[in-house]
Amino acid sequence: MKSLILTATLAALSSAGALTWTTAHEQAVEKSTLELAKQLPAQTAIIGRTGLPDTRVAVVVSEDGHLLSPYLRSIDGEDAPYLLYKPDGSRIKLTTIVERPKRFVALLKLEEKDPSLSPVRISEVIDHTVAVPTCSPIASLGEPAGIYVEHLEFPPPEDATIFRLDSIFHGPGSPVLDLSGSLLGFTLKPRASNTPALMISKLIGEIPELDSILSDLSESNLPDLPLTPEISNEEIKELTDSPLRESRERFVQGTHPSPKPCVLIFNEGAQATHSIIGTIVRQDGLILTKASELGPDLRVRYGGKNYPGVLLATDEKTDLALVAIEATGLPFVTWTDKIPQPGTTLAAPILLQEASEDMVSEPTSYTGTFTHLLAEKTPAVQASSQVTSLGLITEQIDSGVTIAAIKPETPAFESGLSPGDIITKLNDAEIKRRPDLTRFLNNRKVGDEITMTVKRGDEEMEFKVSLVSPKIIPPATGIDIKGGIPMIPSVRRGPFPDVLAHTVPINAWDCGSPLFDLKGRALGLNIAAVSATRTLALLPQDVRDALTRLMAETRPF
Amino acid sequence: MKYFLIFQLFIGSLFAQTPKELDRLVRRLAPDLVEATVAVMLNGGSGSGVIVTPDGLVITAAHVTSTPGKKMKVLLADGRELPATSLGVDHETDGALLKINAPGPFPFRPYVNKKTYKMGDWAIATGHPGGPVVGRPSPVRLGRITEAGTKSGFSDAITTSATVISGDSGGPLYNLKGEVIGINSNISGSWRVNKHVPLPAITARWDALMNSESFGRPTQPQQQFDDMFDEPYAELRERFEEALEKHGKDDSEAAALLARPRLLDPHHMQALLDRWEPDPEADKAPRYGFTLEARAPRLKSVLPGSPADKAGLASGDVITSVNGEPITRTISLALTMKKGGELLFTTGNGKIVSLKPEKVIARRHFPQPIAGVIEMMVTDSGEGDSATDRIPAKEFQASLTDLREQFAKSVVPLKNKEGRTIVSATVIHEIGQLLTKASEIEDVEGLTLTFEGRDYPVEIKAVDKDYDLALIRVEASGLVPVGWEPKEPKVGQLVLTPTSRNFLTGVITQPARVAPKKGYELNHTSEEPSAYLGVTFSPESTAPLIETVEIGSPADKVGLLEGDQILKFEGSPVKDLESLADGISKRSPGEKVALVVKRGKNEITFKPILDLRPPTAAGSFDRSASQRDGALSSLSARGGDLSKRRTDFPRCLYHDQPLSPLLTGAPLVNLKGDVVGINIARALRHRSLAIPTADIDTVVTKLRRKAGRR
Repeated sequence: MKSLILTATLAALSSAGALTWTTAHEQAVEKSTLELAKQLPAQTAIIGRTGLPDTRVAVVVSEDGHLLSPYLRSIDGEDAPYLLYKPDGSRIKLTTIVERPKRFVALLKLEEKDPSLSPVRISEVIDHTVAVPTCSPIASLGEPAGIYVEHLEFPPPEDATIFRLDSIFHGPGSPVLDLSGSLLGFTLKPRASNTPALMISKLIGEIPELDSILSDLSESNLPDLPLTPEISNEEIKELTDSPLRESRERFVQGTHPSPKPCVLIFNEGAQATHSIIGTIVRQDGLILTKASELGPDLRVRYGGKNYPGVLLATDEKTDLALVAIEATGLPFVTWTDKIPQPGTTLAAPILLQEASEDMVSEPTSYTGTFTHLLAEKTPAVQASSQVTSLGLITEQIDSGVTIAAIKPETPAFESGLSPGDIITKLNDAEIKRRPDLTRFLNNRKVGDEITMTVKRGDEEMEFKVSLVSPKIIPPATGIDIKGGIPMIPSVRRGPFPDVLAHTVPINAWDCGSPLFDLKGRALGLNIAAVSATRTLALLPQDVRDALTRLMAETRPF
Repeated sequence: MKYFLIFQLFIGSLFAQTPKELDRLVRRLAPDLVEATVAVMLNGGSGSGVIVTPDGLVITAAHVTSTPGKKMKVLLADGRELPATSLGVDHETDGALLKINAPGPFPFRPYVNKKTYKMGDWAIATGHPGGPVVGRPSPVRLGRITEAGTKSGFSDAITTSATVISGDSGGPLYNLKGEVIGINSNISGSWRVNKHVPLPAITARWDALMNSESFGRPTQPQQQFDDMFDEPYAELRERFEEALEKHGKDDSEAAALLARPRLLDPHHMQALLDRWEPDPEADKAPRYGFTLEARAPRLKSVLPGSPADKAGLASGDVITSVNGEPITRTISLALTMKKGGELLFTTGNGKIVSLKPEKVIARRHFPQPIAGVIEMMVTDSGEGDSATDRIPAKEFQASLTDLREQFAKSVVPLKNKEGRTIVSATVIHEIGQLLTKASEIEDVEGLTLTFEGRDYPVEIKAVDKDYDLALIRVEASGLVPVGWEPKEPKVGQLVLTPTSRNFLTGVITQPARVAPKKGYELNHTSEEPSAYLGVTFSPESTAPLIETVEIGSPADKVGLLEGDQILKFEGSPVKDLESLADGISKRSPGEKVALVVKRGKNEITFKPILDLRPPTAAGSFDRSASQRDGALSSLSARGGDLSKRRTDFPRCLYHDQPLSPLLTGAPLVNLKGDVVGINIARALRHRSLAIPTADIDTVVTKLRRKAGRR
């Protein structure tokens, strides 16, 4: 093992109240994230695994194409390769060097060196503010890794091998970088209120293969960027809670226009509480919000008062709804048509879920960064790559692999195959277990015609079936797809016109809110919570167009 | 003596009408009822169930397991978490069976297969409201049967006033013999309407259910997820796609969707389904039959054949008044029309028409599932209270009349300057010292106390923010201090709260504990091994080197020390921490295990008895717990007022009285009339909170000291 100096020094952290997050702090962070957003496309890659619906971010760790990736479970226990999705839609199979399911990481390698990729530095100096690259669970074509800025829950002891992020937004195996882009470690399973991460040095100690691959830590290649805001020594006190995040949230909250042009809209009579945020667009009580979250009876809460709300009209293209209340003199939003630089800090006013009117929780604000402009109709990486499917739902039984169901509108459906048939051969490959099937399909292209031999009763039969592209089904609502992340995505997560994709971590009920930058300008309207750190916001232009349509004609009364 | 006991039990169960008998019965039964209650843990949600055979057959609700043959886990009262498989499900009655896949014997309760219950009977519900909470046994709730059910299907439900909520689904309803008579199924908004599947409806299909058969379709969108390939609203999508095929020829929108398929959200699917295949059962909303411009109440279009069309309204008409009230804005017109009913419209061009709206299928709401807890189905907003009134409750209250007299001079209302009661207060000293709920009287101007027809101004002497108690003083004579019972009441014990006329009755639902802040009461998750040794290991080394030994833990009891290295667990060598953790988690609390440790040069064998993992201190915030708490609060608030401050008390008694916030500050008393606590909050549908007498003692000392200093 290379001699790594364990100098985990947490520069400075302070106890609640002692620290005031200032514009200077914020600027230092943003300067770094803007820089980081430029580096990440070369140093990270979108990774998937055949047969799995979700995608994750891996980091490039060597010149010759080694990647450290989150460990992804293979559907049938073996053999399905890890895949690297390139921005152009092509898919490259990766060689698995070693997998460590209990550390949630895998070391992978590209067959051929890819000149567009370059390795990250590694570092053991853990600072109080770090970055986690994230992507959508169903990444879209050309999507770069987004940046979510994280804070440490408390300083790790000097000889620690673990540090803790104070959020629970990341699935296990997510890389953690410092603000200059050096790799610090990988997250473990999120706990109740924090996410532990294993330091890279510990990982090197446990994975011998890594030792020879990773570049040496040397003083010379350390960056000279302002990494994180410097926090004075007087402010260092014992840390018990999460003062950094809190003080930063307070600061960001202060950058919003005041009073905020937002209301809270309740679905009356809904079986579970369901509120959603609305953005006021006119002083006389016109509000825009997310249509698919609304029921028939609405109550609108603004400034401590309740108003009956009427759903005037909905717009299918944008999923916006026009809601009206009888009130005048309300503060309304002013839009700014500006597409920010990737890495720009963005914020959304959040009302932690309000359950009932007497439980008004403190409004706060979540921050994230801008990732990219997601163009309308951008396909998901899986759909555009060459993953194949037979159009069958199969089941493993003792005597082999049996057809449980056949999807309609597939060649298999027309072929005469029947549920209950036992698949014995595909072309010449013998099929005994489902992994055999996966292995076979991994090496085929959509449209390939294959000969399938099945057993029906005692009879052997042959069918010609051409391979289809698998249907990408969005992950279910409310599911902890990344291992224990309680996050409720929106029911409707697409399709939309061009949208701003960003990492402000909002839930379904926080949609409908304006998306602010740190100057308090409204750059968009949050329209869908996709995953913990992936949110979509409509552009002001599309919001204005939708408003024109909505104003023209109400739904029938 | 033995005969006597049995006799008592028998008499009690049939005629448990007197408070004393009821108290004794419920208290005695409670531990056994809780022991047989399990949490059913699914991927993405949890419900409840009850074990009914020693070999681990569990009755639960169909909306918990949803399909036969599903793998799940069952959390027993003793902390064991065991694998289970669902057997039959009956969505028509909401009954279902599942089987624990582990050797018994398990604690179980018998069940009835005939209708042995009637209106007015007492019944006890258990389950895991809000999902199983770390360190909390299943709360016990008492109520009366208000409807025993006559018809079949859902309407056959037993209705009780035993309050259940999301997470209780599938849990048992017991009679006072401790037999299962129902399964918690659904509720209306009202606290008094809790519905349970009658056991006879389940036993009628027993053989089929044992055979893993399925009846009916789920009545709500599937909210549990087998795996990540499942899609939300899959059932709706399935119906939609079927209908799409059928209507592709005669409907242009369907044809367009068939030609270019795209993913529609549930609203769009539902709207199209409503058009193609209207569901006669769906909720209806009034429709007069025109669209408007958003900026002015001008008709944009008129739907052909609608009431507006028939009455001669046309696009371009401007509505100037409705029922004689002038209208200038679309919003006011829309608000008026939302209420429905016949309306008289006047237009700018002189048309005066009276429109009776037609009823069309209303827009539906597709709520987001709340992760972690299976939602209790809410069936109607029905007012079940009238049924409750038919119950022979008079007799029960009559037997408490004498006791009530006792509190006439000890419990008094506090009023604001408009003379409206805002909270109650309990007399603790005859010189005019009382205790009340602090947060209710903060900032109240002109606070007075009403006693024997006179109003006295109230002086707030001192406040304890943690317990939310205020010590107040009035210059009134004749007040009588309450008597205290320092012994903590037991789970299942009958407790009373004096109201102006009689008593609220309820039982202690669970042992006293901290009432944490929103989002701080953590659910049991499968990741947490329930068996517990009580050591932590050095993170520096993969070898199991003990770093700390928790005091009082099984490891401490047998004498394991910091620095010991564990070499063997149950005879097999321990390679690394993970294999040890795996080994321990596969054991159950109460099992004795053998450990060989290396201490210095010696190898020593220890045989600790694994314990139940102690509850995690309520010190960490959890976002999904916060979501759950929010959902439970809002569901609860539909049945009545909750207290403004209802969480974050250091220690509380939990009981199930439908306490009004106006009665907080009043004492919670036992059947002797001694105070076991001071009511501090109406917290949730199934939960009222009281500060225990033991804690009151310290708080009062503190408050008096504070008051004296001033």
